[in-house]
Amino acid sequence: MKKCSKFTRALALLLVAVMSLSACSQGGTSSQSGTTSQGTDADPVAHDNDIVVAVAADISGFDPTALSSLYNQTVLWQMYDRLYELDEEKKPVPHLAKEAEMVSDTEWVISLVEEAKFSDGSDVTANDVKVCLDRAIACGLGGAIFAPLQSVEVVDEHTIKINTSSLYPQLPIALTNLITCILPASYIEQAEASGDWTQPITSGRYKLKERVVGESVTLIPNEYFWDESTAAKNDSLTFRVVPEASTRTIMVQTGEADLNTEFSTADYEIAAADPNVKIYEHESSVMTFMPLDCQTEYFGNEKVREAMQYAIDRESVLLVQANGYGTVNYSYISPTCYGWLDNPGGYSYDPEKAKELLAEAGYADGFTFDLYCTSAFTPAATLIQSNLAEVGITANIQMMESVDEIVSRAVDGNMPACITTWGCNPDPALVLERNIGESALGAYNVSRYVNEELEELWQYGSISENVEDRIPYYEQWQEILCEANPWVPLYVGELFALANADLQGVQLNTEQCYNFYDLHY
Amino acid sequence: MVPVVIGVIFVVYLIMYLSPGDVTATILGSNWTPEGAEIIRERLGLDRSFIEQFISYLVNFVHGDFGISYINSTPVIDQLSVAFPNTLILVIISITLAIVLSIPIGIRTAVKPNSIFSGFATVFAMIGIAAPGFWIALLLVLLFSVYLGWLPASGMENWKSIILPSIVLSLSFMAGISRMMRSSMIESLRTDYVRTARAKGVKPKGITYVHALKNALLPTITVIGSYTGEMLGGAVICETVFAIPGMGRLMIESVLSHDVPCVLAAVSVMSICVAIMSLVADLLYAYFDPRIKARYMRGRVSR
Repeated sequence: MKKCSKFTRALALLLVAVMSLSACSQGGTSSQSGTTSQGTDADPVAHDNDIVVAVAADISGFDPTALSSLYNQTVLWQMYDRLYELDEEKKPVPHLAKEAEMVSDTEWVISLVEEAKFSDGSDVTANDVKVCLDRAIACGLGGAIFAPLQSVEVVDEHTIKINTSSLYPQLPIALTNLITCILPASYIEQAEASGDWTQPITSGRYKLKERVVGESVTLIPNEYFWDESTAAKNDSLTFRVVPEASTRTIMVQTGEADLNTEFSTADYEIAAADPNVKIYEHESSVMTFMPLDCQTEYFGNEKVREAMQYAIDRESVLLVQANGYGTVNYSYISPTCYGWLDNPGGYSYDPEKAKELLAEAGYADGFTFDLYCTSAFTPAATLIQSNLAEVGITANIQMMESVDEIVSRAVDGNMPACITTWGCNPDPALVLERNIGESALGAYNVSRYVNEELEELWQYGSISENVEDRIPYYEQWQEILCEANPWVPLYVGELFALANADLQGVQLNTEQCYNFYDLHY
Repeated sequence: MVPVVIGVIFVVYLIMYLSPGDVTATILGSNWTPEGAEIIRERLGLDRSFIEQFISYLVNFVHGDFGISYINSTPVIDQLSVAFPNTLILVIISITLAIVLSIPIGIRTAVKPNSIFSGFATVFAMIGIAAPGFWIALLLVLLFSVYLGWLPASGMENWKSIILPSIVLSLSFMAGISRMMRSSMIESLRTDYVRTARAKGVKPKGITYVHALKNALLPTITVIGSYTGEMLGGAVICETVFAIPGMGRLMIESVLSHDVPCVLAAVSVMSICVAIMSLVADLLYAYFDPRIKARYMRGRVSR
């Protein structure tokens, strides 16, 4: 046998050394969560309660009224409390609000929990709540949700009075919104003056320990949090920015992260086969749809809008965009909303019918328009483009960087159609007028559609405190919209999360407003 | 070096200025109104002319003020101080790994071009060049993190977490360097002075490592210099897959969100690094090739 040369032996030695070094680290792949990455069922795994949540993007700041991104919401939700919270049945239950009384049709008196304190030890007062609600009303995100709110008055140190322009039974639900988060008035004043929101004082279960921009946000329990029954069960929460979906899955598998709330269904089979992790699924309220600018030449035509309903294969859109996980939707609210109707317009995928309608509208040869979307919707946009090409319509896909940019184009009338999403509040009265009402023109009404009949009917969304009394009107709204077709509703996806199999307290909800205080081992 | 950096900043500033998209939409998000956008433009100085904006930026840059991020409202220098060390560590380890492994491989395959080892090295080089970095990264993560559980899949918390990203980042460069080393070594071994040395009875090792290597290293140094610069900006795939908050990721995210101060700072820092690497490569030329040094010395004397 030929003798190995020195070079070959050196190379072999190097490889052995690398393998040995790697092997030495076996079992020591400890993460911040303290979990280990052994892939066997038999090994007992020791966990600590420093929970790591892998998220796809960093937050943009700590001001709850600044930006509406999911990433901001996920982190800020843990830090700040609101007057109301939604329970598992999506009903608002008092939280920082101890009691609420409707003293008249247009007046609510809300008393606050007196023991509530901020993370600096100071009391949560009525003035703090007033300042925060005033900001929520004034900010663009408030929109139609807070349109009926006229003023907030301080009655005494722990009581406020909210005056509304009309009966407003949705107020408790509106007060669960992230933008109504409570911060100290003095801090807001200081932060607004300096533009520095980097050292937030919180009212919720957690306070900020550290933020490394672009890398992580670490929260620790707020020792002044007033409600012991729902206080944090973990020692810390770290939100680690992991842009790559597969890496987030792998991190949960290896124990480097405990939870991934943006689990990609592309990894479903791999994760399902791994006994060390558990997949959580939940219905979603987030609907994906395609608003059409009704003030443009083509989409101003009702027949063309109707043709669009028949031209797009929603089942295939769901398949390519969400791997088939979700429900095809033909309505203007999601199935999780009160009074949802399944396909009130009776539409289906029928290209021939679409061609007929286009011919009736005078567009037998089709037309060309720009379809705007973010890169996240490339699969859906491409499929819709090919669906429309079948009926003679040419859609030029225009990629935008953010949804906000699409909205700003729509305000200027430069967005004929787009693909976007909306997380529906359970009450359609807080969704539809905000998106299709006249009051939302120049804001979220990106289809620039106004229906006079609906403008008359919106008021019935607050006709009674009893939801059952309002449902017939919610159904009527949907029927009118499904006849007018300012949007092409596409689908409602499902929510997925991947967690360590031993992690307790993982709860998903339709609004994606997750509470992480219960996470523990 | 200074004109290069200023030139780079100017070009990037111009590109960002001309690129479509509205930074006010990103900053204000759902709160966007025409009035609010106007206020933001005024506050950021975006209502001034391009030249005014550029000069103002340059003056601040010279004073070490990189500005405030449009997106995070935090000083850009804070973001750089997190991202730059991560990328620098990653690049230094990767380039060291690439040099340490690829130069001996290149020499070996040049000296024995028809051996089995040479065949393996060629296949390895082809894979290194052709296979996408993110694919190799995911395969390595699956093997070493998920199945074997030896190495972490993400982050920069300890030395173990640097192993996989370094291997992935160095792989394609390793292939490139070894191929360059091989071809320049083969060329050197065919030169007249090597034939003369051989005729004079110099031992094969002496010919390879003393006579041929020094000359063969010159083009390899050029390649290593350019690769290092490329690595600084091109580590974005590696940083994304391994969740490392580095310069590449910072730059991509900043470009996508129109965070001009961040983009400019990142590009400027990288261009300075590339310029430094070019300088180091030039100095190394002089070290390995006395003729270059002598040419400079002659120029100085004649002046």
